[in-house]
Amino acid sequence: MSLERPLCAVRAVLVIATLALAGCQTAAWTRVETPDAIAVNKSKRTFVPPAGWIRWNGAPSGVIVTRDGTPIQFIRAAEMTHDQAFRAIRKTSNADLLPNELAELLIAARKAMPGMSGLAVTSNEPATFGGLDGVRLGLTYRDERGASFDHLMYAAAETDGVFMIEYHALSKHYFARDLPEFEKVVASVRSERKAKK
Amino acid sequence: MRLRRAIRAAGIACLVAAVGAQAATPPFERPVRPVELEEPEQRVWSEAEDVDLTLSRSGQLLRDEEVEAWIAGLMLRLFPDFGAALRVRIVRDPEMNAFCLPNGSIYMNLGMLARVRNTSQLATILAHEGVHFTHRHGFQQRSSLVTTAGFTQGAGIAGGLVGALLGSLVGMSSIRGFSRTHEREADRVGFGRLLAGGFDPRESVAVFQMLTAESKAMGLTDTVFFASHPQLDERIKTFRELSAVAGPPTPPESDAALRAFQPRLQREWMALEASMGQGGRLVHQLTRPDAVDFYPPEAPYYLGEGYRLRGDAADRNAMIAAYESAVQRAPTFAPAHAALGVVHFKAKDCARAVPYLRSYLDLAPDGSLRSHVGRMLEKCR
Repeated sequence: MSLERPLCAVRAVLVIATLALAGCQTAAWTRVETPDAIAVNKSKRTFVPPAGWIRWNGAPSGVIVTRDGTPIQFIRAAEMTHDQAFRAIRKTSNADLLPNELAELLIAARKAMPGMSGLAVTSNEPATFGGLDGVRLGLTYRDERGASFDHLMYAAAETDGVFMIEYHALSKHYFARDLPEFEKVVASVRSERKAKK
Repeated sequence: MRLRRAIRAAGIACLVAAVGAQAATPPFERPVRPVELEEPEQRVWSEAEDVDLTLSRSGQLLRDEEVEAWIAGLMLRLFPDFGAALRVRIVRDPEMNAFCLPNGSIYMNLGMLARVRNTSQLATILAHEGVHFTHRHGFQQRSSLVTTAGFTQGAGIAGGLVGALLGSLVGMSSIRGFSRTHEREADRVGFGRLLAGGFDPRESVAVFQMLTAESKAMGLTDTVFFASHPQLDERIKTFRELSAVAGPPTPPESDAALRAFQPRLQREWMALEASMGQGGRLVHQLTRPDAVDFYPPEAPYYLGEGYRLRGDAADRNAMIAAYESAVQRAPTFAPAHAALGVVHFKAKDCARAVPYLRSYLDLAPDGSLRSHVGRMLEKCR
């Protein structure tokens, strides 16, 4: 087989990738100038991100905003179907899950993540947010380099999936500093859907 | 064509190198220091030390001086000629697994320690793993490896121990097991060590039967412990033949020390297993005929958890019966009360739920479920 055709294909991929990268450079991050509500995925759930934070437009799922960069802290809102939410631990969720059962799945999923150690639960309580009955779950852990992180999640199991809004930050300095901002974000969650009874 | 030929040549070269390494690597006859080793083996030991460091920082090791000291005593009986060269650490991992690094560090999973029925069964595993070190299997295996890709495949959920060691060739290759030849050698030489140490050789058959039963019950075709191991049935046959010739030890091995601390390891194992959200193994282990006497009184609660986590609606009655059994056998064990309360609450049967939910709060006023239980009681009001 001639080498010319594969080389053409490689060249084409490189050109497309370069164009895509050039396009992404300008749109990957957007500063939140005015605190307008953002819709989570295609759902009717919205939240208001903190002004001055930066939105990552290329987030693989959900909506992610950060103040100093995602390795330091971020707030993420996401909605996953029951089949997807806990696929990593080969579990499915459902709308009948009690908040404590949802918390149990969230903890098991975090435990199964690679490179994480010393996972501890700092809080686990039922919570109502955005008209949803769910759970407020706090975790701490260390990453593979030994850095300590705090992770606070509000999650609810609904008929169409699991809705979650979470705050993840380096324990030292950052978590406590931006926690009030996160609680404001949680208070801003709105849902046009009828909440589960 | 040229490429294919090159790949074939490289494959043959690797094979020859691996076979050559095996042939030219005699077993250690005494403890050795790294400086006494050739440079390639020194490098492999250095990698193994990195794995030791990673694991010690991972939070995955279970520190229990009593258990560690007792196991160190068993190792001295099995390998008196190696002194403290073989060091055993306990990993907080529910799998029934153990592995040995090229530098003599042996890692024994909590899941193994919690489930062996007696000292001789544990000694069988320790002897087997120790031979991987004395016969330098880790070094030989590491010499023939090119990539970790094969080792990460099939690992399934990559958290815990496997997650901590992803990226380490020595770590992953040790966990995934050795070649069939090395495993056979470890079985054969390990059996000799078992006999010389005065352990009951018949238990070597029992421990492999137990491992086989779990492997089959869980539908595992490529378990971590048995990857590349000789077929289990073949190994059982071999051990049966060897122990028939050897006969039982005189005097019989005492299991008093194991019995003294095993309940706390079993509690930790059951809780760990449940916290990882997988119920199948709990159900398999806790429905074995000897489970009632072998495990602590709260074990039926974890059996109930196993049924619940397995997520099969047909298990519901068995789950409730297990929780009720736990309340009877361990009346002050709060989680069993919470579990029954939650089951009845979900069935909208507040009359049954409330007494259990209240007794949970009485038994564990600071329990991890107190907020949730409080909310359920409010809803039942």
